[in-house]
Amino acid sequence: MNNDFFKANINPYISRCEEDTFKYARNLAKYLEAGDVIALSGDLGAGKTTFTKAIAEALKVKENVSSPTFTIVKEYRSGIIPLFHFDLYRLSYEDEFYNIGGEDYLFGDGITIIEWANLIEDILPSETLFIDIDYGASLGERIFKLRDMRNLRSL
Amino acid sequence: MKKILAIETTAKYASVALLLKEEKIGSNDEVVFFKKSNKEMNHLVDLMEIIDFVLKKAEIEISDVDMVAPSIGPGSFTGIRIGVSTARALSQACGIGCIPVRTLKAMAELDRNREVDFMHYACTIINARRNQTYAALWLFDESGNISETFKQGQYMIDDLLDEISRINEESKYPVYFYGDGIDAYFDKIEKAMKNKTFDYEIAPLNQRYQSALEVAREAYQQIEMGKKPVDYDELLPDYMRKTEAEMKLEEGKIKINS
Amino acid sequence: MLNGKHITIGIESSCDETAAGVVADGREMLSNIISSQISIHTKFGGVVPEIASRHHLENINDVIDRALKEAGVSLNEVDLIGVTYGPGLVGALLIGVATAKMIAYAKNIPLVGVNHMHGHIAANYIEHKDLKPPFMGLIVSGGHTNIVDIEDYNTCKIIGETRDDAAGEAFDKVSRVIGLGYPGGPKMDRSARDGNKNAIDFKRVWLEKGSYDFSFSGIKTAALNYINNERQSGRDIDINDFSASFQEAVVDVITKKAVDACIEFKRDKLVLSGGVAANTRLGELLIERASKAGIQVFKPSKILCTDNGAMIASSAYYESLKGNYSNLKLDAAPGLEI
Repeated sequence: MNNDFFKANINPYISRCEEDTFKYARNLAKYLEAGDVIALSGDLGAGKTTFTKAIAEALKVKENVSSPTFTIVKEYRSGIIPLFHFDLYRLSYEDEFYNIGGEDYLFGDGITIIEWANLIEDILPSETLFIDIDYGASLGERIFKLRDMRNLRSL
Repeated sequence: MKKILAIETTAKYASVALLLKEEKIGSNDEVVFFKKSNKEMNHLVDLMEIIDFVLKKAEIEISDVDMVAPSIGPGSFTGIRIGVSTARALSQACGIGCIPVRTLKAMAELDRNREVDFMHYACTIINARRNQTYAALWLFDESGNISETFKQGQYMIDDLLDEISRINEESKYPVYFYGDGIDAYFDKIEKAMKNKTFDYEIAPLNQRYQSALEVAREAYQQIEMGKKPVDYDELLPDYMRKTEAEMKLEEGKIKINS
Repeated sequence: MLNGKHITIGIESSCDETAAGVVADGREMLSNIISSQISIHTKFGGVVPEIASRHHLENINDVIDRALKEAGVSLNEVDLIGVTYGPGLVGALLIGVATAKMIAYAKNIPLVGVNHMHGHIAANYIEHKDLKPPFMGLIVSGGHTNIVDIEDYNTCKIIGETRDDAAGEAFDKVSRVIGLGYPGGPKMDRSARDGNKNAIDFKRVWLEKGSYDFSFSGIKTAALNYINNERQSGRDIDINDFSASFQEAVVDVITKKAVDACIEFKRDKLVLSGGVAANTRLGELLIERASKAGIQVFKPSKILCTDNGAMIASSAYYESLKGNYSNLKLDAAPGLEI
């Protein structure tokens, strides 16, 4: 991901409905390459999995993308780039991420999207893109904020 | 005759070596059957097949193996776990003892291919990403005896290279590098070693990476030195990875103690 | 063989649990060892199972050992090894697969890789000795909510699945927010028994007409919104009423779709499995609705609902009867489809 991406995208982005979220993800997906890591944060129900579904759709993944809360990670290899979808909600400590082979995914051949990434924030690659999803003022509204780890500031 | 089955799955390619060592006094006879997978990071699929291959070649039943010696790490987490699980299962099924082999020590065996008879260092480095390495510095004497200089562990590449220079300031022995840490930090290593007063060499590709052959040799050495095999429930991985908290604590400080 | 019976050991390590179980002739359970249940009593004494879970490498050999001992067999009497090779967490699956492959090779025992979902269904073959395909299956757990049509042993077709969250997951997450703690499902089940299921009307999500798929993220969000609103307004939430109402909304959708599927696909048997199969209200409402439609409901005992090795052994047995064995190249398949 390069600076063009940040210049081309409104930040923060206000999504008023699911279709808006899908548009946002579709646009972001254009800039994604193998090896990219996206760390999603947001409360329960904020829409992290919905956002991931949208990215998957943009990558032309054929399988149904469902919540990886229980399996921790799900792999999708039917799209144009492999997609690895993590949910660290059920992990208790950082080392568990290694034990499940997490590092191999991060430095593997696909795009990694991690929900509840705060547990491993310290060990994420420096080029990780952080997306915070907040509830908006009205029902169904969500606010997407991008953060780039290198600068650790909002863009 | 001792029959040691060595398993190496910490690196890119899985490999297996069956070392048959004659125990008659005065005899140094040994035969090694070796097989390496030709697919990268395919350990789970390949390992049993290549184990079967070497056993068939040696015409030995797996239950006749005396000891199983897996490379226990550091290296790829997934790879380590496949090798260690497989070894534990063999031990459990056939009552065979285990000799855990630490990867960085096994890698030092690569240096013996040089067959040099002067004092020198072998630095074995495994890539731990983000400017980190799993590393060890081995001192070889004229007779080929090996000793560990500082504690093998996880170190920042810059700290490691500084420490090698510091240790070797007076002795000025040649330093030979091995391991995939070379591939990750090639430029840094060259830059740090180039203008030093001692010789250094980076292992050529065909002698750079650990394989089951080195693991077998190291296992045998352990046995020679009196190491007793352990039961499967004592055979555990050695990931060697520091927690992030530990790493933060040590940032910027030289943490290598000789 | 032992006493003329075919002996299968099943090994399970697809997610949280490391488990092994021994089964005779595919249906008679001789032992069923599950790591978290040992851990609580021996190693950690009362520590939350989640922390002891996923230590597959350290647990697996001990669990296999105990399973054999309790069944009164040694590896020499084992005729077949079954191991879960998917779906699940690859880092967990590989421990089971690597272990099973070596034991099979070293002792020259045939090996069968088992689909974890087929395993859940097979739990019912152990529980109900006369149950045979064809039937409709309903698998409800932390990671899955599936309606599957089972024509023959280990031959399944997905009729419906979740499009987002699994039912068990919804229970766990909501349970945590309302303060019931871990494990969410059972805690909510207990709380619900003392509550009024009609106290709060959580909107059911049925999806498009004719679909047997599920979607629980909406009701999860609705429940969380309810909790937030009540708390912000300073009102106390009756936890029992909340649990009963939330549970009812989830169970209402699951049971209706499952029974409708039986009717459409002309199955007179409905077989329940997975961790959430132990939920009281789910079982109750399912039996109520199914009986009205002339459908017989089967479900396993509690220990067979959760991930376990005996169910894997049973599934492996039936797979072997078809002559389907795995070879030394068996790989973990985290995304394995049913």
